[in-house]
Amino acid sequence: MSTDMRQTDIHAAHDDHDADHDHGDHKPSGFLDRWLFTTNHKDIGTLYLIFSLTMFMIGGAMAMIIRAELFMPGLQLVEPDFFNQMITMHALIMIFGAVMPAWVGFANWLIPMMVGAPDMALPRMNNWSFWILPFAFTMLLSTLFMDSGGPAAGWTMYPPLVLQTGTSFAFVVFAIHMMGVSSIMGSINIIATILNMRAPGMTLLRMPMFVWTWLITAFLLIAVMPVLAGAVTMLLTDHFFSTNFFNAAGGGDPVMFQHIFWFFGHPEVYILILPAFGVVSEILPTFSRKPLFGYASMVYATATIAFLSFIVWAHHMFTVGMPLQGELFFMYATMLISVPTGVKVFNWVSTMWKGSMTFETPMLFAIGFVLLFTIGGLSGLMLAITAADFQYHDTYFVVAHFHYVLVPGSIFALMAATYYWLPKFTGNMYSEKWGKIHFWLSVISVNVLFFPQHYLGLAGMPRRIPDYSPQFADFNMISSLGGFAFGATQLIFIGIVIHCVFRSKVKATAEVWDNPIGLEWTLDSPPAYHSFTTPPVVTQDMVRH
Amino acid sequence: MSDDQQPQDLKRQRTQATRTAWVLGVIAMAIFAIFIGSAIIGR
Repeated sequence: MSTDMRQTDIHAAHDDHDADHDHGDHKPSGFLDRWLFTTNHKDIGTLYLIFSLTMFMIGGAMAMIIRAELFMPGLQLVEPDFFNQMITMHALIMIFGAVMPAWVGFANWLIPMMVGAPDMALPRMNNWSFWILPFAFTMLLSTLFMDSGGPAAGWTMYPPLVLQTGTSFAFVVFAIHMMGVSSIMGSINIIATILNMRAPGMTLLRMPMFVWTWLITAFLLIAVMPVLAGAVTMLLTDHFFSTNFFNAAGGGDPVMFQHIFWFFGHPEVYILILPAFGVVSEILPTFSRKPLFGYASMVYATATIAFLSFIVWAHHMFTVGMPLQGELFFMYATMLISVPTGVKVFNWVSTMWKGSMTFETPMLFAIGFVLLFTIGGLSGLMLAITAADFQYHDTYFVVAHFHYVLVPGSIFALMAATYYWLPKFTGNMYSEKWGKIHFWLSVISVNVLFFPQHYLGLAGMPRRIPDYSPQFADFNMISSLGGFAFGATQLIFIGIVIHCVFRSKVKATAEVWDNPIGLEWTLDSPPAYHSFTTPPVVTQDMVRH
Repeated sequence: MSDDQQPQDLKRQRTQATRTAWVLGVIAMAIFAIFIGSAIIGR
């Protein structure tokens, strides 16, 4: 602890030095000093975002392999075992490597600026949180090149199937442990920053919604990542040390793993989506030119969703065989989530109602989010009905449902956040024309990709298979064509980002948009390397809710 | 807020933040231990 205290002193002294000499924009000169040893929240945020985009491309390439194999019935391109490795790795990489780090990247960039802090509370731990990730994912991806191959039992890693993975399983478990450590340290840093580093006058109920949603997300992460770590540790000992936690032959219980996994897994879904709620709650008021409707109810709804996420886990395992009372409890508790979620959707629509709306690219993605995420929410409500779930379980209906929540949900919100804040981060405007092309191609292709999967599931096509009966051929071909189009469209996104960062000649103003709300817009675009070395004083008229 | 008060405030904030971090870290490790421990005891 004394070392940490000394480090905080050093940082405080460093910031003091910056404030005294007014050279807040001085960056470390060497490449390694700037990026490997950085403790600056903006640099670490950038690292997270670059890492996330890289993982998005790798996970996306795996999705292309999956959709290419499913383009027509029969086995065309890959062996079934490799197909199973692809579906497993696609999920692990997209969840832990793409979406979560992207949200942490935005949190790093934005939370200190939004609450008026000079940096994250624990900058050295922030550096460590990030630099663990490339090693974790290198280790995870390296299993694909090992003799025993990568994990192939799905991201849920159910025993006994997952215990058939060869020696590479140890690498998978260690990689998951490292991801967990990174997430927990990142969350601790975010909570410590929000609770302790706010500027004078920035009371909790004056904080932007993005900060609120991240505060709640960080608590969720701290609560459930250790549970995942516990579950995979028990898998590890079952695999390599002859324990029998989940081995029925040794007196263990494989269903216990499912309970433990989903106690982590369901809050994890909200970890992926709550920051998206925050982003949409920031963007809609700006482009509707109205304050957010029902700010306090948005905060309470977010907290309610987070609480309910802990008591619904067994809706993922209705078919496993549990008492009727248990099934009824989990069904009703799951349906209850639609109440606070409905409050949010109502408030977003009310924010836009009679607003002076304009449709710049971030707004288009935010509106796309509201519409399409709601489709994912409604199919979730269908899945919550226990009796109906016996038909839907493990079919493509489930695949369609969670992809609607995560792709036009989380990922559209990430796109919206990128277009909204990238001009602030870089000082350059992106191409609005290409942004709109990216949006329209994305919104069309994502529906062509995932909507037919509802019909496939209702018709009984199981998930996680490389081959299927010929009656599923047409919808699979349509879905694959949508997938290829969506994948190609994301290359446009990368082009837009690279152009904005390195080539754009159009400079962004400090406010970027028409009178946006929030402390980050009071800083230059791009902001100085060390911002808010002297904290701002926040008053009620600065927050407008 | 005068210039010479600001670093003191920052120091105080960071000291409190370090305490918050320790508490949260201990909670995370306790959750890990409880889940593994209860599985072992339950077995």
